[in-house]
Amino acid sequence: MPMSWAPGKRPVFVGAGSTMVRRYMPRSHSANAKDAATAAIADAGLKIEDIDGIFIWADPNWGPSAVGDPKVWLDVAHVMQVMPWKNIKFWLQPEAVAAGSCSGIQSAALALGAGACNYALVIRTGHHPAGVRYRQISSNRAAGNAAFTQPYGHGVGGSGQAVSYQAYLSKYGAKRESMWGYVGTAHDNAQLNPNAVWKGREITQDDYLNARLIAYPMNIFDNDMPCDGVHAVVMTTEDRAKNTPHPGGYMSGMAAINWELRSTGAAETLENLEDMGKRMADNMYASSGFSAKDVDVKHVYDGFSPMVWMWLEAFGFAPKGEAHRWAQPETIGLKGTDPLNMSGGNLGNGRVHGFTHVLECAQQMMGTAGPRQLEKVTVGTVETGPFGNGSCFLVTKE
Amino acid sequence: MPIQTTMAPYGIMPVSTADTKPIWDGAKEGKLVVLKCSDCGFLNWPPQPWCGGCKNPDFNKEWVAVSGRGTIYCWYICHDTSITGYEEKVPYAVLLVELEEQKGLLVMSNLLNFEYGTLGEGIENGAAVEVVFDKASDDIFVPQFQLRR
Repeated sequence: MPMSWAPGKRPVFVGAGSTMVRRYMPRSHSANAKDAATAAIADAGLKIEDIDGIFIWADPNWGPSAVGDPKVWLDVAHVMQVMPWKNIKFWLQPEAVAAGSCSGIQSAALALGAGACNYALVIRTGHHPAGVRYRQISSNRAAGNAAFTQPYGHGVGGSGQAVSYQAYLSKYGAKRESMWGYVGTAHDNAQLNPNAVWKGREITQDDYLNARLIAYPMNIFDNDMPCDGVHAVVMTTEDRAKNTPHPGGYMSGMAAINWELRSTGAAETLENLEDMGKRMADNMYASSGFSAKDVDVKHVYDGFSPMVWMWLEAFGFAPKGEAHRWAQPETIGLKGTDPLNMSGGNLGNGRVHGFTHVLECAQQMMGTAGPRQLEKVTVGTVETGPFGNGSCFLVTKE
Repeated sequence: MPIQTTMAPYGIMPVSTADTKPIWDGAKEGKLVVLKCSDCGFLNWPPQPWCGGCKNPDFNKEWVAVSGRGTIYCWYICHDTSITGYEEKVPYAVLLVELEEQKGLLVMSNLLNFEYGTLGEGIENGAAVEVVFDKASDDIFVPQFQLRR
C-alpha cells in the first residue's frame, strides 16, 4: 500500500538555497549555514518567523572531531544559535551516519504530514578544515572489528567501495575506463552549476584515466572532494504551499536501507549489497505506487563513483550488470534520454554528503534549476548514502 | 613489484580483547579460528554479539578452527598513504578471501609471497588461496593469505 497523507497535507518543497561549495572556504560554516538558510527561506517567499521546524542529518562523517564540535558539526543546536528564530516548535536530528541526507527530508516530511510543524528547514553542511588530511588513520592499534581490517592497511578513502567495485568489474566484465561516462558527465553538469567546486575547472578523459590512484581501481576523481558549503531546502504542506511562489516535489514515498540482510564478514559480498539496495528501492516504489519507468528526475549517490552503477541497477534504471554500458553521456547527460545527477552530484558539485542531490531534486521539481532545468519533470527520486547504506525518497511534480 | 613475504612491521597492531582472544590464541598456534553458532552452524567473522545466520543474540558460541583455504573474492591495490605506518608499503594488495567453509564468509588479507603488478596484474578473483600466519609480535600472528600451489 502506498503511504498516504491527510487531504492538503502532502509535504512539498517550496524553497532552496545554497552557498558556494569550495575547498577551504575562508569563513565559518555557521556563516554559510545562515546564508543558505536565509536564501532558502526567501526563495520560498517566507520569513524567518514562519519557520517552525528544523531537520538535520548532522553527523559530518569526517575526521577527528568530537560529537557536536561546532567547528565541524552543523547540528540543530548549532543552527538554532546562528539565526534569530522566533517560532521553532519541533526539530529532529537523525543520527545514524549511514542514514544519509535523505533522512533529514524524510523526518521533515513525516513531521509536516502529521502536523508537528508547518514550515520546515532542512539543512546540511560539508566541511573540511585546512591542515587536516582527510581520512587520516593515525592510531597504531586496532581492537574489535577494526583488528580484522586496519592491520592490513585497509581504510584509505573509498577503500570500502574499491572492493565492491573490483567485484563488480570482474563479475560483469566491466572496464574501469567506462566510468569516465559518469565522472565526465558529473563534471560537465558542474559547469552549469555556479556553486559547484569544479565549475571552471574542467577535466578531460586523459586527466581522469591518469589521475593519482587511491585504492585501485579507484583514483582521486572517483572520490568526491572534501570541501566547505551548505545547502538548505524549505518544505511545507500542500495547503500552505499554494501561497508560495513555486512549490514542487510532493512527497510520495520513502524507504531506508535493509540492513537486516547483513550477514557477517570483513565486508558484505556484492550480491548481498545488491539485495539490500534493491529491497530498499522496491520499498520506495511500493510506498509511492510508482515504478522505475515513471522516474524522469533521477539522483543516486555518487560520493564514490562505483556506487552510481550499483544504485542505477538497484533502482531499476539500468539493467543488472549493464550500468557500466548504460551510464554514458548520451543516456545520462543533461541532453540524454535519462539525465542523472544534474547538479554534478558529489563528484562535480563537491562533498556535501548527498545533499546536493536533495537540493537539485527540489529545484528541478520547483522549476528553479536554471540552466540545468529539465523539460520533462513528473517524478523525481533521490538516494543518498553509500551502496549498502542510505535512504531515499520519491516526489511528484503535481 | 617486489614480493611481500611479510607485512611486518605492522603500522597498526591488532589488539587481542576478551571477544577476540580465541582468534589470536589460535593464530599463534597456526590455526584460523572463527566463531561458530552451534545452534545453526553459521560461521561468524569477525565475532559479533549476534549470529549472522539465525540472528539470535543469545546464540551458543563455539570457537572452531577452519581449513584456512579459500578463494580470492575481490581485491584492491592501495596506493594512498593516508594510513600512518603503511606509507612505505604502498602499493599493496588488500584482498577479501571467501573461506571454503561458507559462501559469503569474507576475510580480509594482503597477498603474501606472490609477485603482482601495481594495478593488480596477476591477481585473479576465484584464485585458490591458503592462510599463513604473519608474525607481528611475540603474541600476535596476523592471518594472511598466499596462493595455493
